[in-house]
Amino acid sequence: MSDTRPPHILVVDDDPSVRLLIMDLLHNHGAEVTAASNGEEALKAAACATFDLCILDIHMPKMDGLQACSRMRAQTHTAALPILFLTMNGDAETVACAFAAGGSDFLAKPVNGALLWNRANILIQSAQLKKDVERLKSALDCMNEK
Amino acid sequence: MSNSTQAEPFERPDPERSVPQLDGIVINRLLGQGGMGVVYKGLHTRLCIPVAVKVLLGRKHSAADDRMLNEARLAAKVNHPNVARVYDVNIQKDATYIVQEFVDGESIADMIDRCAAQKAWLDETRVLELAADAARGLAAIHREGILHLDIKPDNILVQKRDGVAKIVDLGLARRNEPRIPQSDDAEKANSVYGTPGFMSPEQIQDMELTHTTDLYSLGATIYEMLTNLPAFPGGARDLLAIFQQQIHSDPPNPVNVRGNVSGATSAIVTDLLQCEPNHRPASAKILLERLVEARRALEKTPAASGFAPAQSALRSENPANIVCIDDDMVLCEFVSDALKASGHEVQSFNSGAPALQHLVVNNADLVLLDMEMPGANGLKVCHAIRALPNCQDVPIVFMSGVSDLHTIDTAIKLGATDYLIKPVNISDLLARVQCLTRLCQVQRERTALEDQYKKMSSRNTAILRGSGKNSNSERSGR
Repeated sequence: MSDTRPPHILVVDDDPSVRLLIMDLLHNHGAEVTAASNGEEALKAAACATFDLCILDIHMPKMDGLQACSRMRAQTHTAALPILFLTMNGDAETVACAFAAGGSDFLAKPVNGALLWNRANILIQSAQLKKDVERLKSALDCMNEK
Repeated sequence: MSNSTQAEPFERPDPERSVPQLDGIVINRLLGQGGMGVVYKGLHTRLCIPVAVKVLLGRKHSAADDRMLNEARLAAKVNHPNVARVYDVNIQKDATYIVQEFVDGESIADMIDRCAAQKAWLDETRVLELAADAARGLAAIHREGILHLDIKPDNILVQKRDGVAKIVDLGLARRNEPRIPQSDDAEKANSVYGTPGFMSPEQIQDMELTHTTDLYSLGATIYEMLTNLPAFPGGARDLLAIFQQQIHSDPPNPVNVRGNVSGATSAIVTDLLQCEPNHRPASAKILLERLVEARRALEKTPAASGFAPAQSALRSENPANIVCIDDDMVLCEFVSDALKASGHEVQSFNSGAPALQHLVVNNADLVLLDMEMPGANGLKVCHAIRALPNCQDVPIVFMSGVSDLHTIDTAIKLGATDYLIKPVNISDLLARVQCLTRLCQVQRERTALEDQYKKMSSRNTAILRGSGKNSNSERSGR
């Protein structure tokens, strides 16, 4: 029942060098990547395509990551999208804000490639497993009805 | 007695080699060296008690002598168990010195250094007790109309015998009197005394100083006791950068570094570190009442509940069985408290061998693993855990002081799921635990549903086969 296509990841960061670094890393692991430089662009991208994960910076011009995350959670097609926040530091307040906005996890900058990929993978796996669970539940319901 | 910003640097001989000859004192050993002089431990030959002797060395300078005389006269007015007593002051031909109470113990700076080296934090209750002692001492100093103006971890000593904290070094102290405005800029620049990172904004700006100036410094001291970090990072010489942080940023909150600090304690620290003197607690006595109240509240509350306010967003929906392997039992206990407060079960082990024995017969939802331990190191233990049949999928999170990329990559190649760098940020730890335990739970749910689906499918197939046989029998007329 698992999906075997490469994961499609939305990378949102206003710093072009961070964006490129993360995109390179994800490409090297076989992921398909779309980039955005602020929250507004991220929402537009998320409306046009289906993603398996969103890696989201917090401090960005126009619309910051926390606002973008809240908006994604309010829209049906992105309500369950795993969102990995990138924070400047892992202080308790920022982390609490990130989770309160609907974030799934966070990683403090500077980003370590191996750790980012591991955390991204765990979120993608979790989301995939949840989809599997939902499909299995529906299949079992159908069987019981018959 | 260290790093104080001082005008008029002295040329000093080596204090270890050229021990001064002091009237009535036999010098035993060097205790420390600071901006105003050198401190020795000695024996007062007439009183027959150990004493600390603060000596001005080097070129004789009348202004420096006057300052030391002023220090001794001010300190002699204060008679309080939380302030080191001054017994005498003497101006000799070759040395000026103060004879004061010898506090057998260590400074709060030493305690912080020791905790930082062990990657641990001072117990919050102990921090409140020491801060309360310092507040009592400050209240006594302020009652005599004196401002200390150099409160910092180095200047609070903790007695070995009973754990009582005592304020020392009134070298920068002065009477709490309205300031006479200085027109001469050079003189004004020279009049800034104190220790960067502990001096209040008004002290840096050489403005009017009050009792709350000392309270600000005590706030920075308490912050460092709680977090092992300076409240205002910056080099000792970078006064401007520190000043910018003090006036442009919100007061630093210890909860941001150490998530389990209670709300009452963190509120005390942020109130003390207010840039505006009027916004701080109005007196050492008021501060003392708040410290005592916060200490009482901690006693009433279970130790772990301090994690709740900062980590409510990370409270676990899925309680997990967690195995923590670390030879630092203080850290183990701290991590265990934080995780238990979030609803998890924790088993702690101080090395890999007993943990592996436990994991052979018990399932775990998550393993937290130190890197450097006696016996097998974390990498070997990680490899051994992965070899256990029941632990091939269990998430393993390293908690290590080793932060080089090569080690992190090696750990992940050997099967580590994640890697946290010590000192462990509790928010980060709880987020890791939440994500990984959620993953495990969904994995288990899927496996259970798959089993159920297979059973239902085979039962339905059997029913279909059975009904097929029946219809065949019916057709053949049997």
